[in-house]
Amino acid sequence: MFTTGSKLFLGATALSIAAAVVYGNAKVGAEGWLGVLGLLSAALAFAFLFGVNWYTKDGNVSAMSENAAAEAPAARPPAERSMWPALAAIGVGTVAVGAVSKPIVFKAGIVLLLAAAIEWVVSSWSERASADATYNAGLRKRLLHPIEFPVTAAVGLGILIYSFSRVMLWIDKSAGPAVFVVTGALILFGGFLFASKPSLKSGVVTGVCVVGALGLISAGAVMALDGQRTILEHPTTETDNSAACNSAEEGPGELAEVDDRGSQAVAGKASVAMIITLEDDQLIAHEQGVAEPQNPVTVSRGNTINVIFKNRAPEERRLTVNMGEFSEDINGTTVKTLPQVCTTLVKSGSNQFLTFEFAKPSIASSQPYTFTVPGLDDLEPIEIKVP
Amino acid sequence: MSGVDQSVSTVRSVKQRSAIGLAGIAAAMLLGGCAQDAPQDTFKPAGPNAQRIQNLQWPVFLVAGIVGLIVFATIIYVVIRFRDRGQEMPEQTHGRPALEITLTIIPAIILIAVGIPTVSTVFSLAKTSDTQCVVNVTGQQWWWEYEYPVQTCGGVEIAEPLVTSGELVIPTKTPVLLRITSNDVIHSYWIPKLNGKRDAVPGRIHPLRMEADHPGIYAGQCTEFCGLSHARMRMDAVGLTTDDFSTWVANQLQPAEKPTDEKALRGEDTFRAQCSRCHQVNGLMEENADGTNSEKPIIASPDLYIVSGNAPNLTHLMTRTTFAGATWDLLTDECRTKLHDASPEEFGALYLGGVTPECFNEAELRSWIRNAPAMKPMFSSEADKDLSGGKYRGMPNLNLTDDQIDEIIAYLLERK
Repeated sequence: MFTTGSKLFLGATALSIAAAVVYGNAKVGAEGWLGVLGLLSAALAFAFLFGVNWYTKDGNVSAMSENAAAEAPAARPPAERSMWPALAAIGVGTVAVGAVSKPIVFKAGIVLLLAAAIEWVVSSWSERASADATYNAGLRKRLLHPIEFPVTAAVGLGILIYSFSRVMLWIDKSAGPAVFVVTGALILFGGFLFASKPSLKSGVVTGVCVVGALGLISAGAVMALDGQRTILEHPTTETDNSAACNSAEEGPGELAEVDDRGSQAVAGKASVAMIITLEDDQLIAHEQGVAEPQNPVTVSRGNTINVIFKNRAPEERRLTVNMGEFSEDINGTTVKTLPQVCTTLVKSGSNQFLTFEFAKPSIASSQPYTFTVPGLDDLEPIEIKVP
Repeated sequence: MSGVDQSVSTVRSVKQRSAIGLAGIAAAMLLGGCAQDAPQDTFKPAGPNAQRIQNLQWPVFLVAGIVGLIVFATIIYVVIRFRDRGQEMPEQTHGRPALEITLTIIPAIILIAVGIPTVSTVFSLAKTSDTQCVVNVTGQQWWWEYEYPVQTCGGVEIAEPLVTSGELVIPTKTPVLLRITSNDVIHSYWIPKLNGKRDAVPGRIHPLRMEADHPGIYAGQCTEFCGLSHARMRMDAVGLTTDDFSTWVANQLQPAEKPTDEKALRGEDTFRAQCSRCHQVNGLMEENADGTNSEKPIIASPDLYIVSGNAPNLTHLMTRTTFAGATWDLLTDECRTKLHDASPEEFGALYLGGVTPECFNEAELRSWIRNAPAMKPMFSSEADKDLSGGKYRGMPNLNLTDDQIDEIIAYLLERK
């Protein structure tokens, strides 16, 4: 009948055909046909290997001899049913599907295949190590438990941690500390309870832990599917887009989410040069460490300046840094440049981070460096001095 | 002498030499603490902030010392008294709640006793709301720049921002707020006699209080390894009375004047051609075709040539006493000693006098201009520029002739 090896390739063949059908239905067009073709080719290859393994009885010469099989202890059928061929088949199928779909599926298939192969090889070897089944089982444990236990524990913990992270990313930001404290307190309380009642049956402890873990994994799965909360308004900087930086509306060609230099300057978020607040039709600059608002403000030449813009106006506004006016004589024609950087439109009540740098001192420019807010012409700008 | 005796003698000799060596090192460390000429002595505070640290560190040091002595003495006693002499294993006991609770409570009380003044000092040193003057401090490889924003600093009006380097000049008896940052890598600002240290981190502004009780010069050193010439990144804080500080500010706001001396005039041309690419001199104008000054100021472009995007402003170089990251003196030894030893009453006038031709330490400045990287390694050779993205990390060797160096020095000597 079917040998163990032939079962593996038969399963892989069946899975590849099934995958080809599913993929062919899901994808239409040339790209879809290419995937189907790949999967059917794999099915053909697996079918060939199935035939070879079936015909040669997995290359086991002694197994092909009825007498030898009956007499040799190592040729006795395995003591337990093995799940590794089935898992290896699933691994092969996953690799095949991953090869034509997503790299992550392909990688998962490789991992599954490798794990099944290792387990299968060691199990097969240990089952025939001697005629003593108990000794053989012990041999397998000695070899594989040092790998199985840590890996299983790591994967299990990983799943629990990932589930918990999904929960924490789903709930409201303000509720996060409370949930964290309550969860920690519950775990501590449970641990204390178990430790103080040594007579408690291990089944009860296991049951409580399993129910808790399943609850957490289920909650994590549900919340992961629902998606995480909106965490932060990303720091955004518009550069060399005068149309946007001079407009109170969303400017032409404006990127809604740049997340460029501002977000890279992580350190600056905790200790910015100044906070610029738009409130009551006034632009106010509070420099780090300085008690009173400043106008003008002085910043260093050649230094990365990080500021936070707080929009406390009732409507969306942006902060623009006017970085002077420079003239250049090109072939007898005077060309003027007015470099600017600005935030994107910031919602009322929101903050945004802005990073910029002055390469030249103020005296190099024919116009002062200033902070302004487009659309508020009566607003007194904040002058920026660069010595 | 037998072979055994010889080897025993050799072992003794090695032990004796090791003991003498260790005793020598210990003595050197102990005597090092007795040095009188130690400008960066943190145990000699010269301002209220450093005094607060001093008031904290002595009692904490005392408590830590006593605890340390008790612990070491106990360990030594136990090791000797109960050493293995082949005696019977004593009875093993477990758990002495009274003793364990006592040994937990005593350290807790000591920690609380030390913690309360420590936290109080940390908060008082972090306070910035009562400062009366603001200076932006920017570290870069390997020098410090100081910018004074528009403000009233300790009663002195600063109408336009001014910039200097190497020496932080502050009015005495005035709480000054330093806003410290960096242009390139992490540095650390420390004037031991005036306050503790504060890291200068790119993209961040770290506040630090600074106050000097008396006029004088207070030495400091970058205390965060910041590259090849970290050891040559020094700084001085200069305390001036309010009147003297007012005079200093007024002078610093003046643009450079046209040189009068003929050699200095040629030096101005050389400076314009060679140095003004990186060094700003306020008031230095572009030249017209007829040799007269135009109305267009020369704007240095250190951002094109230097990693940090900045180079010291040299408008008033000769009002400072040091150059190149406060590492070399602009004053001769004699004049430097006279200035540093001056009484608080005499100090202001001497300092404001700047570098006179008689006191000018020409040799070191000349060497610097001739080949700066030879004095302060900076990866500034053409071959190493690729490592810095095509930019220098300091002043390169400009291969100037002796005549050009003479002219530049004549020009710089008038930058007061």
